[in-house]
Amino acid sequence: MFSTDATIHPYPAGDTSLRRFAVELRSLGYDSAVATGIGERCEYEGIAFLKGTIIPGAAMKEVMRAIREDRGSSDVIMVCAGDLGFNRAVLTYPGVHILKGVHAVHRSAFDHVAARSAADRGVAVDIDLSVMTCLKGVRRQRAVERLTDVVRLSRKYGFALTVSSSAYSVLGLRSTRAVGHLLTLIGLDASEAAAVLGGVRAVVDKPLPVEVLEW
Amino acid sequence: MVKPRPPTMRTNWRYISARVVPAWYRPDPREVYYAVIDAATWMWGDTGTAAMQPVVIEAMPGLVVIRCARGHEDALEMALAAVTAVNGCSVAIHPQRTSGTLRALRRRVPVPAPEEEEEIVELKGESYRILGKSGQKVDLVKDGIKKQVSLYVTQEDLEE
Repeated sequence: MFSTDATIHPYPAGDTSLRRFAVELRSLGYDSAVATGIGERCEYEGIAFLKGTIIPGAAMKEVMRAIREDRGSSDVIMVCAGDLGFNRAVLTYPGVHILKGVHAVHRSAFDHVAARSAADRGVAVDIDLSVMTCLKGVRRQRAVERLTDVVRLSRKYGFALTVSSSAYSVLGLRSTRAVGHLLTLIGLDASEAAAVLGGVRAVVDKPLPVEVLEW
Repeated sequence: MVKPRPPTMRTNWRYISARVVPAWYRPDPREVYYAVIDAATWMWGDTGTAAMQPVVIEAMPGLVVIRCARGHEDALEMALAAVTAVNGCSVAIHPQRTSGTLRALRRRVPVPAPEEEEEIVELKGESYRILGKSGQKVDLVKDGIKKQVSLYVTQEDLEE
């Protein structure tokens, strides 16, 4: 079973080098991670680092331009969620792997239509664990409420979920066991939590619509 | 003098040892207790935290031992995952082992290595103080006028 952290930010964006992240991730039970700001896919200490790009999409045009400029160099492309129209457009656009930051948008911005699009197109929705550990008070309650809603939609429509620490430092990482515990807060059981930890591989290595087995 | 309870009437405890990151940080047991209580109260409320009865038994650089009532280990581990700072300093607490007695726990948990002398290293043209070394891991800090800048690297990064 794969265990992948869907977003980490190594040095220079964060304060931890990629090799140090590899040492820590291995001790915490991961086998791969999606790292932003790295040149290409690499491997240290048995941890595979996929190249990730986060597109802070304010408008669909920006997302389209960013994906065009990326030219397939990134293994995982993540787009930050916005309003309802934007989310629906992003989820149907080819090349997008993960929709991030659903906890921060309005409740109606990710509805059953968007959920169905995500399931049909094989786009995953990211669960950011840092909101559960770093936010306080009402903001944390709202975020947990949104994520619970996303889990409910995922069960019904069958789109993939991924989990990310969004760590800029080793201090932001949590073990796979702790991640499983934290995911129970939003209604996922142990087997579902294990599937969520392997969600990135499910999205990246998804089967193509047409595959030529023998020529 | 109060007569001690018979063994069957005593509370059954569980002891959890947890790794503290960064390893050089010297945690104050009282401050760790406040941080754990804060996280547990957010997650389980006052009644849940009261049932858990968390107590910090021991806190040393790189390691804390926390006690809770039997049956609440998972809840306490979940609360520890939500601890992000102790007394204003960013830390992470990773539970390692759980045991029914302190003796069994101490037998299985490695004692953190003693501190080494502070060294100065050069990295990308800037000098950093080494705060802690553990295996390949090296924690650096640069003292600035306004704030300290931490950097977490490996021995290999320094040799490059």
